[in-house]
Amino acid sequence: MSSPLIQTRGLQTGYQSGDTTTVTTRGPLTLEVRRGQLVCLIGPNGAGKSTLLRTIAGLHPPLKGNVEINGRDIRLHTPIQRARTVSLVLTDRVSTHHLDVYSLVALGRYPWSGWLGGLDSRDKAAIESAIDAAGIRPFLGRKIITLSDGEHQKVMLARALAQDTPLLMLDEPTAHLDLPSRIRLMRLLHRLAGQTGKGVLLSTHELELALQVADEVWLLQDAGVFHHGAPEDLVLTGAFEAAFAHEDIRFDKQTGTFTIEHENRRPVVFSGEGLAAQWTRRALQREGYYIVDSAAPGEPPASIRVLVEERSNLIKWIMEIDNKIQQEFDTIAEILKALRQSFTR
Amino acid sequence: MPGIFPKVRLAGLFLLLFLAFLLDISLGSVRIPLKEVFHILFASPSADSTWTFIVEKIRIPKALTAVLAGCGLSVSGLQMQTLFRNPLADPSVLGITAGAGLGVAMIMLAGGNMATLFAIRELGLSGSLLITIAACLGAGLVMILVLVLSSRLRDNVLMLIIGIMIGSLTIAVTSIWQYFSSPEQVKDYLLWTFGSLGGVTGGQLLILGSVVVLGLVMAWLSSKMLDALLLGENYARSMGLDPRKARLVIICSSSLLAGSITAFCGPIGFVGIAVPHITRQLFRTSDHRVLVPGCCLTGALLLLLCDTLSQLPGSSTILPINVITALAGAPVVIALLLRQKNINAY
Repeated sequence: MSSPLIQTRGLQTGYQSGDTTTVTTRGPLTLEVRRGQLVCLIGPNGAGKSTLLRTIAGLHPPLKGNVEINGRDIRLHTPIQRARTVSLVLTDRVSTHHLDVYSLVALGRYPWSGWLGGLDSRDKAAIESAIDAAGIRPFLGRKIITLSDGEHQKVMLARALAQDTPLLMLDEPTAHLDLPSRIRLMRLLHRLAGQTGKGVLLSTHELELALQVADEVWLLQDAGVFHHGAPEDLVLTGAFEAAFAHEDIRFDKQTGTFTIEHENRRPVVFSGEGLAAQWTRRALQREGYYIVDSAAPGEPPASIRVLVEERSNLIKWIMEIDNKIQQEFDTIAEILKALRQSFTR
Repeated sequence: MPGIFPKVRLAGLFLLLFLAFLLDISLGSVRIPLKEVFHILFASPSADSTWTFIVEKIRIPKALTAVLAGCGLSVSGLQMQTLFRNPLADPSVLGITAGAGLGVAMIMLAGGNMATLFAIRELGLSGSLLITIAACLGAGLVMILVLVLSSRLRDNVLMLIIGIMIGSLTIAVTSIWQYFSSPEQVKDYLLWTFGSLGGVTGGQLLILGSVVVLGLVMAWLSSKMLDALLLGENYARSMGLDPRKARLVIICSSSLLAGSITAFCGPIGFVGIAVPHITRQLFRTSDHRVLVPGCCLTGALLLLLCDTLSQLPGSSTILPINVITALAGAPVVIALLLRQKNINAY
């Protein structure tokens, strides 16, 4: 097995300003990223993800312990040596007026190019392959400030790829992206790690995506608690649930998703089958109902019943209250509206 | 993508600069025909020895000073705007020009001292050499202070604030001096603050030229760092830029440019803030390998034209150069920025 690209020993991160020390990750952390590995750093807002990333990237001094690149303390590397090993995609938006996409990607060659930034054929080849890998050729001639957030993110990724480092680190690369772009970006990073053998370390809030692509998850909990391991292990040990534990959020171990717990929940008896029934169930949950089995003993009797029926390719929603009022509806929106009205009355 | 486009523009600007240079030499209180100017510049002395004298001893040094000051102040402004990522930054933000002003004020306003007065009278040209030396000392001291502070700071924004604070302090000291001086002395100082391209001749021109060329070479060599700084300090560091080293090189070259020019010509405003904006618009690029030479040519051209205007062709009146740079330059910058519809222009 090859030696890790980056390794932390007894690491503790945080800020020191004057006499006050703010510890963000207590540690001591002993972590590593290997070639071809995709590692997702997950944690709630303010848990210290960015600080940990910046410390590992050598942009920020550790409070205790050290970070090693290729077995040597990061502080012993010159800035250029470090930049040839680790490239970074940050959340900062670049807003320089006359900067075009190609020039920005070309800046990724900074640690390799000559005194004045002149590019040789090797630099140009690296830029071209980064442009193709990130799929940004369609907007190559545009100015940076005209790009959307998603396009901007891809361009910054291309710049990091042009830097041609064995390790790629990204701070919340999926923020500001729409769902398809998020999935595409994660798939791209997963493929990059697998095909080019790069180590990829990224911080994200996308738990569900991370569960699907990460080889390893670093889970940063509030108050400096830290877990790491295969994502599935972390689900089984309940570490996931604990990290995001909150009175109104529930982690569903079955599906690996988070659901919102509503206040003032009301029971409803529900029956129906098929796709329409499944989505009606979700709509009811969103409205603050929880589904009870009509036959279940010990449950408080539910006064509301909702039925979904399919009659000759037409779907009908039926609402019953106290076995008395019975109404039929054509859409979910209508039945929800009627339910709301019957309770405000 | 550096292509043929910037080269064509640079060549065009160079041609315009050459024409402006000739025009500046030809026009003035005494009008010398262009043909004669050519003659004196490239061939034998003219038949008219007065013209030869005016061209060689007064107009060429003044035009050369305009070129040096235009190049230096523009490039210094460009560096400051990129380093501090602030479209309003100019060579004065580090307090270097205020330092030069303090040096001059010390000499002029301490004129009550007989020895100083004597020295000013004896040295002629209102003691320009003494004043220049004082201005150099003032600018140099502030520059050393700024460089020492810059090596201790992590953050460029802090550097900007500290530079402005040093400038304010220096100006405050100058004001105390003014407050206790006689109106005549204050007027002398005020005249210096209007700026002047004349009076830098011979050995002084050689010194100014050497310092400005040194500053420009350093600025040219810093263009890769400036490009990286466009992405912000975090990205720049992640790409291998050493922020302290970059700041040191950039501030050092910028201070050499602004300090020497202010020392020899007085505080010439406006060029440093306006020319970088004009140049970016002209070349539509953020590549400093294009912008540094571009700013040199645009700045020199602008200052030559302003100098030509300041001599009010056809009359013997000469307006202060500072008045012309602002009067002629401000409308240009406003028009350019309005067309761009975005003030975030650095």
